[in-house]
Amino acid sequence: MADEAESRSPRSRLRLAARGAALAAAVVLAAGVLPWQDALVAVPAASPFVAAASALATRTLGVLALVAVPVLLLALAVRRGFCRWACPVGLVSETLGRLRRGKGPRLARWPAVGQWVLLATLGGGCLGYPLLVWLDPLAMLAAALGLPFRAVGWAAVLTAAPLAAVLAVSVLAPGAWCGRLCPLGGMQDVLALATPWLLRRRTKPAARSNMQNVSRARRVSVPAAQASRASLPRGGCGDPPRESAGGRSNSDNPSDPAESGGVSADGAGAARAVARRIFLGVGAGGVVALVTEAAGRGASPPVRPPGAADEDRFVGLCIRCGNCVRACPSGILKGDLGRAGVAGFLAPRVDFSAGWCRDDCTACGEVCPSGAIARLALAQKRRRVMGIAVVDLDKCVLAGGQECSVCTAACPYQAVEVVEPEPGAAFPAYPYPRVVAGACVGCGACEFECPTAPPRAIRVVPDAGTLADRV
Amino acid sequence: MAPRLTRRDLMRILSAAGFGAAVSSTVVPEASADPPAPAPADPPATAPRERQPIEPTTAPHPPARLSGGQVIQPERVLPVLHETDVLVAGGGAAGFAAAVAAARAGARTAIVERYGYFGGLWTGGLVLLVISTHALRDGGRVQVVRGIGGELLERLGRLDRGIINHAPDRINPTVDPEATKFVMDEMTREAGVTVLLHCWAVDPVMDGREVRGVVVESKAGRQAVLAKVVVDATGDGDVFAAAGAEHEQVLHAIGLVHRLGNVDRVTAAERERIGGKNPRRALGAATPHPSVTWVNLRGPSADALDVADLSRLELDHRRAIWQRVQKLREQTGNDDLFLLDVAPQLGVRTSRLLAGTHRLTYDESRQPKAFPDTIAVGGAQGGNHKPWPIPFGVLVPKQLDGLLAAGRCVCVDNRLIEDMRLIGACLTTGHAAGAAAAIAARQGCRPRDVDVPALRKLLADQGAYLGA
Repeated sequence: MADEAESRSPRSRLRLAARGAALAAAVVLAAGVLPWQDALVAVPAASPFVAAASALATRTLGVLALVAVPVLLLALAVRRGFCRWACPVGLVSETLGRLRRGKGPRLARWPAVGQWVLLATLGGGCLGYPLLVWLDPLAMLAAALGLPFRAVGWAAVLTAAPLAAVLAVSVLAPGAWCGRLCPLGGMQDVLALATPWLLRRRTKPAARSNMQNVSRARRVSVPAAQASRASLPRGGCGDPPRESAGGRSNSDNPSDPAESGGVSADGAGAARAVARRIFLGVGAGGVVALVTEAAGRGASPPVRPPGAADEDRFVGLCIRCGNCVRACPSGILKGDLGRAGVAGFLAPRVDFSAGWCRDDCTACGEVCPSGAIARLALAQKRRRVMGIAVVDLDKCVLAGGQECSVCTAACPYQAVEVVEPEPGAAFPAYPYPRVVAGACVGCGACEFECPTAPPRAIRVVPDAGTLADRV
Repeated sequence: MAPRLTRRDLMRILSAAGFGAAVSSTVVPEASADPPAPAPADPPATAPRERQPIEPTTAPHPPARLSGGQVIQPERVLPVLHETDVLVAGGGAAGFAAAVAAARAGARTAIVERYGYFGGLWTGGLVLLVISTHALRDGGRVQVVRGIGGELLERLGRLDRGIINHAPDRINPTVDPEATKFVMDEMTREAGVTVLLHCWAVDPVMDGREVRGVVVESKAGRQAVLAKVVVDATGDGDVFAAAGAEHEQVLHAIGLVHRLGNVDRVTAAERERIGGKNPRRALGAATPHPSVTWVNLRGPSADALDVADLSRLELDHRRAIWQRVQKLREQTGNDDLFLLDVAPQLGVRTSRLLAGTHRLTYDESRQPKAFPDTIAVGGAQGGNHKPWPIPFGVLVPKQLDGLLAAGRCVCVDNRLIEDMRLIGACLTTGHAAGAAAAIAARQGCRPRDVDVPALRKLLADQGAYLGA
């Protein structure tokens, strides 16, 4: 897995075993083969990037965030600890990178895109729209692993496309993804800046700082010296501080970017640079979030799963992991292919042609790792309005003077009633169905069952309401 | 009165020999071609022309009498009109399919029907649309109404103007009522079913907890038809209710269908005058005859077992229909448009529901699983959802023996009524009940103890669809 020198050491063997185990665990959990549906959330939820962005955007810190805590601690304790010891995507990417050993680009000339993605996403998250949270490697992995369990279609293919792109990058530019592009890697770099500060508070500042620096330098530089440029995490590890200290144009030692490690992070100039970077990244993310939201507002949003956040926040919060699409027993969740504008691309929308949202089910909320779909108790879900049914009397069989009572029977909420026409009315001259506004939650049972051809005589349109009147 | 006495006496004498043939030949003139039929058939045919004085004292049975303000029906011995293996009470879609299935399975079969034709609400109620013939499977559509019902639709398709929208790529055909009656007559006759029309099943004949036949009321008075197994296809569950079987009653809208004639002479411009966004639909739905449409009327919710309700609705509905058609004539300005007919039968959607050994729920039907005792498969009204298996248990009363239910009165929950009461489901549950009754009669077992694999094999052999 690593260079020959490294692969001989017990430590690297241990590391390989740990990463292999992490990959296997991720596959098992995300593939949904366990008789435990919550397993689907585990992989994306383990990412502190997803957890942080979701917490900022939803302004809530759920129990699900606990899943990310071990990764967070690992990243704080060991520089790029998650990349080096656990990341399943990293293992695959690195292995693919070996196909073209030594052909990698000079990574130091690449900007630390991952950190900017992180900062922009968190900035957008502060405004409710975490722009690029779907670039999280664990989210992409979960999405791709779910592919065999989804209906064939463009949405399914596109859901797996980000991981495919990462793997392609891994072959073409070994190390680039992990070292420069990955937002979770970037997050670990940023967290690494905090490590000395956290440790310093508990020990004598000077001594601890020195020890820390020495040990850090040794730990990082030894493998870095042995490894080729292509071997990944090191590429990104030391980069941010150095870059912030001197600016990217001063990267005079690109071949060994890890050399300086976190050492220079203690400098006042570096701190200012970090602050500036955070300010810029977060600010840019916020601006883009506002622009995207404004741009998306014109499009008519589709019906979203029950418990989905407000449309503006939902499209950002959704990490496109595809869990809900897989979990939905009715098969009515589909990745949106642009109907709701670019902002909502691949976010789940509800399509009632295959079924309806069952009144005994809360699966989509249970498997959502990002909080885009709230975890609702069944009683809450049954009152959560996804949309509202509207009747097209021109198409309605009953209103056309024929026999039909499909929608009234189908509605689990008794929200469709049959109304007698006004005496002598020209239209409708026959009894017709009417939706009881306070009772309808937009579950789509009526639309699915309606015997007319699509678009059906009764169909669900999005509704801004949040709760049905029923108790 | 006079001729009935004569005929009954005669029939008693001849009952050992060609009784069944005699009965059917009095009802169906063509049957007189059968060799044993002419002798018994001739006297009744000529009898009505004779004037026979009846002595006032020769009452056939002690009549009901007032006693202390109560009306007392004295106990009496009922003549046995007929004895058979399988007796089907009710000649609607379900009863027709049950009778043909039982007879084809080799059982001696008789059917009693209160009106003079088969088809019930399908033909007599003019509910001409056969909904839920298909369901969604593997991205395509699968026809679930097969077997006896499917054969009936096929044969209608071979007639000129017997059926429309009946093609491999179409669902939910519409039939002509007279063509349907004709084909039903032919199929019952071909199967050798003893047909007893104008006989209203009013009571079960009980032997302990077991139903052993049905008492029918007719112009000949009360008579019994004895059978090994009775299929209650009365729609209202009249037989099992009178036998004391556990059941429930549901109120539903009761309407009345009518047909319009000469609709093809109404020009587009005249249709425009009806107003509304879709004036074409105000003239009703298409039938196999281009000049005829049928128009539904939903009506208010009412008690289908209450004569007062039924009478009021008949009068109200017929007046409303008359007025509506006159208004249509005024609006269009077309005097050719006319009220062709109002259905002879009031459109009762549901009334009694059996408490069966399996209560099939709407949720079971919409998240369908195959049952080990699947005996029929329901369709989707728009052909837009999966087929849903129907278990044998919906036909079997919880305690009562000797009887199976079929048609709209089988055991379903309130929401599934809307699917189970449709003609397609009546045809398939009727088919299953008839086949099961034939097996029970042949094996001499209770209907609930029928060997289900054998029943399913018989149904499959008779062309029924039991799922993939």
